[in-house]
Amino acid sequence: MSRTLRIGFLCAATLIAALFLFGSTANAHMGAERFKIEKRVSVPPKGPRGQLELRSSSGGEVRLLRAEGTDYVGSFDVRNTGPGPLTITRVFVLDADDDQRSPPGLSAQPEGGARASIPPGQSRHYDVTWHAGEARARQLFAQIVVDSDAAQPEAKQVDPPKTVGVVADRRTGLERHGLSLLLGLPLLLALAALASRFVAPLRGKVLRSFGSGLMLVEAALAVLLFSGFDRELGKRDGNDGLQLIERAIVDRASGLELFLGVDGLSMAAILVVAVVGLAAVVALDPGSDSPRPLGGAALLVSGAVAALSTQTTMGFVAAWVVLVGGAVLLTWDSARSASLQIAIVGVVSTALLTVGLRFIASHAGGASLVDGSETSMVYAFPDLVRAHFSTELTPWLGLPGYRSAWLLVFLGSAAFLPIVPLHGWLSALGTRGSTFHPSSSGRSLAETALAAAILPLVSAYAVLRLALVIQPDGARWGAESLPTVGVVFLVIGGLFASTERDLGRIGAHLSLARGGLFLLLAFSLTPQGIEAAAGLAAAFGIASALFHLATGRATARAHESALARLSGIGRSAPILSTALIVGILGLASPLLPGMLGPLVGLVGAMGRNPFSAVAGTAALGLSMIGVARAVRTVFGSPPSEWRDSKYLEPFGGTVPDLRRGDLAWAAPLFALALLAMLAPRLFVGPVDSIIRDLVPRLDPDGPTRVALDIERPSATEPGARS
Amino acid sequence: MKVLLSSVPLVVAPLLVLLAAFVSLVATRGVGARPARLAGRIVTAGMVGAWALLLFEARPLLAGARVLSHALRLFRVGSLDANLSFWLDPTSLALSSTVLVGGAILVSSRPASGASPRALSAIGVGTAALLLATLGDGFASLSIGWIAFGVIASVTLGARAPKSGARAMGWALSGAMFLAVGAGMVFWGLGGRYLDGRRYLSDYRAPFEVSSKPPGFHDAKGADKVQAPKVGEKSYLTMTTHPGAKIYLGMANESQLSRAEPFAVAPVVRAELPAGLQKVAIDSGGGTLVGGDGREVALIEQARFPAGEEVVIRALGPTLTFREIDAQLEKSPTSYAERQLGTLRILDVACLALGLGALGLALGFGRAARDPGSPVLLAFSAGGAAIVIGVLGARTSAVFAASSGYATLVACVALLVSLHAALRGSRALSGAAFLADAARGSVALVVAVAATSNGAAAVAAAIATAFGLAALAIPLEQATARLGDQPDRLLERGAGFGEGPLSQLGGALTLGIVTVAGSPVPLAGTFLGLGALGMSALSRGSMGWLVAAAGAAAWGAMASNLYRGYFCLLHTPANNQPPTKTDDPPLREKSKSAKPDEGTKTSKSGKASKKARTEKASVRGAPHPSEASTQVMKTDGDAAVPRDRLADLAALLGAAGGPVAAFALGALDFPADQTTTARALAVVVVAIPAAITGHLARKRYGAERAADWVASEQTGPLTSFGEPEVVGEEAEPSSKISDVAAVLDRALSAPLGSLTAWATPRDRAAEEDA
Repeated sequence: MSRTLRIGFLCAATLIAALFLFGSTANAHMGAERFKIEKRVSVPPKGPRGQLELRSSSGGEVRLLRAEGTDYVGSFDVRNTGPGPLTITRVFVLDADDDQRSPPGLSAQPEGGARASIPPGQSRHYDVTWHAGEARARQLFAQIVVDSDAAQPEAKQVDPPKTVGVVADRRTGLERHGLSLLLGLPLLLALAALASRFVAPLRGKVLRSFGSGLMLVEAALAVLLFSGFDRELGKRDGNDGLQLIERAIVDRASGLELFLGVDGLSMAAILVVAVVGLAAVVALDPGSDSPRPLGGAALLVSGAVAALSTQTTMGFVAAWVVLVGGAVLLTWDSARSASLQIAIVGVVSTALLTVGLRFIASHAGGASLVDGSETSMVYAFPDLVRAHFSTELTPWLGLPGYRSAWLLVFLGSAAFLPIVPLHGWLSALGTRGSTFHPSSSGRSLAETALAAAILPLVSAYAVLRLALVIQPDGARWGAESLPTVGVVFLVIGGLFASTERDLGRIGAHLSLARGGLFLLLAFSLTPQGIEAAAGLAAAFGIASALFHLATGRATARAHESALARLSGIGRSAPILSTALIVGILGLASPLLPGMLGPLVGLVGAMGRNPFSAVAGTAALGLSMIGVARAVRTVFGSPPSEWRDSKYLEPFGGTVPDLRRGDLAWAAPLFALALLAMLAPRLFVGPVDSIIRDLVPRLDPDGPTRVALDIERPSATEPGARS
Repeated sequence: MKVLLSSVPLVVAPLLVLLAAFVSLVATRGVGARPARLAGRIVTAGMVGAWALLLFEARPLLAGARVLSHALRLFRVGSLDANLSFWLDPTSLALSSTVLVGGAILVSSRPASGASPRALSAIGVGTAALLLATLGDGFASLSIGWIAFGVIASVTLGARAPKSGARAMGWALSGAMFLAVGAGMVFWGLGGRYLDGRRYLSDYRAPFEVSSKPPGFHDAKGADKVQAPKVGEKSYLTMTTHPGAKIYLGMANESQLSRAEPFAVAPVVRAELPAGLQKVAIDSGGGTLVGGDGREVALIEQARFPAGEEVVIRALGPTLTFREIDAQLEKSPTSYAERQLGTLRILDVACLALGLGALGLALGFGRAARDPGSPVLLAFSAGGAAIVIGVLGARTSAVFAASSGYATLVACVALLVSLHAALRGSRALSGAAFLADAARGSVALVVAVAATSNGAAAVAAAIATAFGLAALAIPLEQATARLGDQPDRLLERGAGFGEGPLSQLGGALTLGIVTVAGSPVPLAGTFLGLGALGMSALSRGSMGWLVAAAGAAAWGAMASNLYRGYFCLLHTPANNQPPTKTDDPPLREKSKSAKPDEGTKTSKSGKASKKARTEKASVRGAPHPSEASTQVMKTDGDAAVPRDRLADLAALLGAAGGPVAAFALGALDFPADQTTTARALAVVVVAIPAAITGHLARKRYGAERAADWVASEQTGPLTSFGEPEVVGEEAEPSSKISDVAAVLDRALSAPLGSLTAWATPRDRAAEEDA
C-alpha cells in the first residue's frame, strides 16, 4: 500500500471516528420548543376532536401562479380528518416584527370568507395571494401557519399549529436556475475530463477548448447574475435577504434540503470565482495532455460556487469536500507536495466542520422545510441564524457548548485562510515558481493561481458565514483573542515576505499576512471591519490570481525566480509588469483592488481593538517591504546574463511581454481589478444589508457597544434621533 | 460659511489630466518624430484645462463662499462615511494650482532633456492623483491620492533607479498605513471614549444636528424664540454631509418611507420648503447604523425652519471629513482632549500617527531618491510629497494644535531628518545627490512646519518647496543634458550658470535655491513656514527651545548646503574640453545611437558646425536613445551651448511660482496667524543667518575659492555622513533577520511539511522527467 493511500485511510478513519464520537453526544440534546405563539387556545374542546391536515394542489408547498398584473395566486385546503368538528382559530403568515421572513404582500383568506367550524371529513379552501408589486423581492418563500383546536383524543392540550410552505417566482428564463447552472457547468467539464481518460480524441486541445468555452459561459452567467443582483435588498424585504433561491427537499425524514441562494456576502465572491476560474483554465499549460488539472479546476470552481451558494450546513460540507478534492486533483501533477498538504488540511477541516456543524444543527431547536413540514435537525443557514445557542447548549469538550461548537467550526472554516501551522501548502505552491524545467517554457502557474485564489476566498467566506453570522455568541468569545492572533500572522507573513528571495514565495507569505489581516478586521466585530473583511476576501482573490499568473509567465520565460536575478522586466514587458505590480499590491492588502477597504477596516478595527489595530497597521509595513522588494524586479535594466540565456535567446535576450493569447486570462482579471479599484462599492455594497442585520446581534446594547449612535436627545441643540 | 455646489463636477479636473495622460501614451505610438514633445503638449493641455476648470469654479471664493462637489460614494457602514468628494477653498485652490502649474512646467521642460512619452504620461497620472489629495474633502480622498501618487511616483523613479523606486514605494505605503491609524484615532475619538484605556464606549450622541446657526453658536437666553411663520413663508434646507442620503419631510412613520419620494437628496443647498415645524427623516443608505433596529433612519420630530433662514443639517460624532472634524474639534476642544487610549490621549496618538505618516512620505522621496536618473522626476516626486504633506498639515491642523507636545516631538524628528539630509549632502559633488538631499531636507522641513499646527504656513511651505525644487531640478537636468557632463562631478566642475547662454537658467537656479532655502527674499512660503516654526517653538516653553535649536541647526545646515551648491554650479567648467569616455556603466545610453541628422533637425540653431560636432559627440549623461534626437550635446565650450527658450522660460516660471503663489494667497486673504510684528521679527531672525550663511558660502565656493577645495572637504567629521549611494544593483547580503525568518519559516511549516516531505523530491524528479 502506498504511503499516499495510508495517509488517506488514516484521515478518513479519523473523520469517521470523530463523527461517531461527537455525533452521538450531539443527538442527546435534540428537541426544543417549535413555535412561540402567544395567546393561543391551549385547552382542547370536550368530546370528539377534529384533526388538521393541510393539502396543496401540488402535494408539497403551495406554488403561486401569476394572475392579474403583479398578483400571484394559489390555494391550499384545510381538511378535518378527525371525528369532531375543527375550528380554525388563526391563519397567518409566519413573520414577526423583528424577524421578517416573507416578502410583504402575502395573505391567505378562506374561500367565501367562511368562519364556521369544519365538520369531520370536510375541508376548507384557502386562497393565497401575493401582491408582488408591494415587494422588493422577486421570489417568495414563506410559511403560512394554520392554528386550530385540533387535538389528539386524550390530549390535554391542542396540537401545535401546522405550517404550509408558499412559493412564488417572478423571474423568468435562465435566471430561475442561475445558480444551478453555475454549479453544473464546471461539473460538465469535470465529466468531460473524466471521459477523456477513456476516449483519446477528447484529450488535449479539444478538451481545453471545450473547457475554455464552458468557463467563458460560466463567467458570463456570473456577470449576468451579478448585474441583476439587488444590492439594497435586505432581511427586512423577506426571504431572509436571499436572492436567486432554489429549494427542493432531498430527504424529508432527515430534514435534508437542496437550498441554494445568494446574499451580499456571497454574490461578489461567486463572480470572482467564475472569472478567476476562466482565467486559470485559459492559462493552463497547453503542453500537458493530462486531463487531471482541467478536471481538478472544474471541480474546484464548482465546489467553490456550491460552497458560496448553498444555504445548508450539510450542503456546505459536501461542497467543501468537492472543493478540496478539486484542488488536490488540480495540483497533483505539478506540485505533489502542495497537493498532499491541501488534502491533509482538507480532511482535517472537513472533520472539524462536520462535527461542529452537526452539533449546532442538532441544538438549534427545529425548523420547517420549504413545504412547511417540520424537522428537528436544522441545516438551513437562515434557521440557524434565528437560533440562540449560548443559553441552550450544555458544556462540551470542556467548554460551554456554544464555544466548543464555534471553535470547531472556526478552525474548520479558517483552515485555508491560511493560518499557521496549516499554511505550508501555499508556500509549496509558491515554490513552483522556482522549479521550471526547460521544456515547460509555456507552462504557467495557473494551478497555483486557481488554488491560491479560490481556497482562501471560500475559507474567508466560511468564517464570515459560519463563525460570525450564524454564531455571534461564539464570535464574541473568539473576538477576545483572534485580533491578536491576526496581528501575529501579519507579523510572521510580513517578516517572511520582507526577507524572502524568491518571487513566488513572496506571494505565499503575503497571503499569510493577508489571512492575519482578515482575522484582525473580521473579529474586530465592527461594521467597518466586517465589511472590509468581506471586500478583502474578494479583492485578494483577484489579486492573488493576477500575481501568480503574472509571476508564472515571468519566471517560466526567464527560468528564474530569484529576486536578485529578475530585474528590468518592466522595460521589455510592460503589460506583464503591470499585472505583477497590481497583483502584488493587491496581495499586500490596502492597494489597488479594493483600495480603500482595508484602510477603512483598520479604522473600524480601532474601535474595539485599538492596540491590535495599531500593531497590525505597523505590521503591514513589513508586508510593504516585501512588496517593494518584489516590485523592484520590474525596474531597472535587464541583467547581462539574459543576453546569453538560451531560454531568452528567441526573445532577443529579454523577457517577452504577454502575447495575444495571454490577454484571454489577463484582460478579465485586469477588468475585475479595475472595477474593484474604481468602484469598491460594487463588491462591498451588497454586504451593507448583512451588516445591518448582523452587527446588532454581534454587538448588542451594552457598555462597550461601538459604532451605533443610539437615541440621546441633545440638551443644548435640536438633534436627530433614531 | 456659505457653501455652493459646483456647476461642473470637480472630479472632471483630475479626470481631464488622467485622460490627457492616456491619450498622450496612445497618440504618440508610432509617431516617428518628437513623440515626447507631442506627449508633453497633450499632457500640458490636460493640465491647463483642469486648471481653467478650477479657476472657473473658484469664482464664489471671492465672495467668501466654498464650493462642494460630490463624485463617488465609497464606503458607508456603521457610523463611517467615506466619500470621494471635493472641496474648493483657498487652501485647495492654491495647492491644486501648484500641482497643475508645477506639473505643466515639469512636463513642458522634459522633452528638451530627453523624456520618454511614458514618463510624461506618468507625470500626468501622478498629477491627477495629487489633485485627488489636494481637492479631497476627507481622509478617504487623501488616502487614495496619497497611495496612488506614491505608487506612480515610485514606479516613475524606479524606471531609472530600481532601488529608489522600491524604497520610495515602501516608505510611501508605510506612511499611508500611519495615515490610517491617525484617521482611525480621530474618527473614534470624536464618537466616544475608551473605557479602562481600551474598551470603547460610544457617547450615544445623535448622528445629526439641525440648526440655523453656525457650529458653536449659542443664542443668548430667550433669543431663540421662534415666531410662528406666516402662510406662504419659505425657509431653506442645506445638507452637505452624507452625500446620497435621502431627506424626507412629514413622514408619519417609518413604514411610509419605502413608498415616499424624498424631499431632497444630499448634497443639497438651500432647498426651499415651507417655514415652520417639520418632521424630518434622513435615510443615509448603505450600511449606516443609526439605532440598530434594521430601519436605520434618523428622525427629527420637530425641526424648526424659521422663515427666510437657512437651516443646516450637519453630521455629529465620528467622521472622516475634514471640515466636520474641524467643526467639532473647534466647538468643544476640551471635551475631546480628555479622551484617552491607554495612558495616551487619543489626539496624541492621532497626532503621532499623522506625523509619522508624513515623515514616511518625506523619507520615501528624499533619501530613496538620492540616486535618481532624472532630476525632474525627483522634483516631481519630492514636490508632490511636499504638497501631500501640506494638505495633511492644513487639514489636520486642529489635531496637531490639540496635541502640542507630540506635535513638537514630530517637528523635532522631522528637523533631525532635515539636518541629517543637509549634513549628508554637504559633501555631495553630483547634481543628483545635491538635489536629492535638498529635496529630502526641504520636504522634512514641510513636515516640521505642518506639525506647528499652522495650516497656512504648511501650505505656503509646501507650495514654495514644490516650486523651488522644480526650479532647481530643471536647470540641473538641462545642464546635465546640454553639457554632457559626468553627473557625479557636476558640482566640482561647475555648470556655467553664472555667465553666457546658461545665465537664464542660472537665474532660475538662484530663485529656486533662495526659495527652498527659506530666504526672506523673495518672501516665499518656506520663509513663512520657518517663521511659523520659530514662533510655534518659542510659544512652547522649554520643549520649544529644543525645536528652535533643531530648527535653526537644520535650516542653517540646509541653507548652507544649498548656497554651496549654488556657487559651485555658477562656475563655468574649467577645462572647456570635450568630456572623455569612461568605462563606468552609463545611467543612460550613449548618444551614439542617435542619428546625427535628426539631432540637427531638432536643433534650434541648426548650424552646420554644431552638426559636425554633434556627430562626434559621445558623452555620458546623454538622454535615452529614443529621445536623443531632441538633444544637441555641448562638446567644446559655452559658445556652443544651444538654448532652449521654452525650457528656460519653464525654469523661470517655476522659480517665480513660489513668491507669486505666496502673494496670491495674501490676496485671497489666506488665513495666517502671524501678526505684523511677529512677521517682522521673523524676517530679521531669518534674514541675518541667511545673509551670514550666504556670505560664507560665497567666500568658500565662489569665484575666489581655493584650488584644492574638493580635497579639503574630504576630511573632517562631516565626511562620515557619506557620499552618494552606489547606483545599481548589488548582491543582496544575507542578514541575521533573514536567517531567523528562514528558520522560523521552516519550523512553522514543519508540521505539514514533514508529512509530505517525501513528495518534494518526486516533484523535482517529475520536473526533470518532463
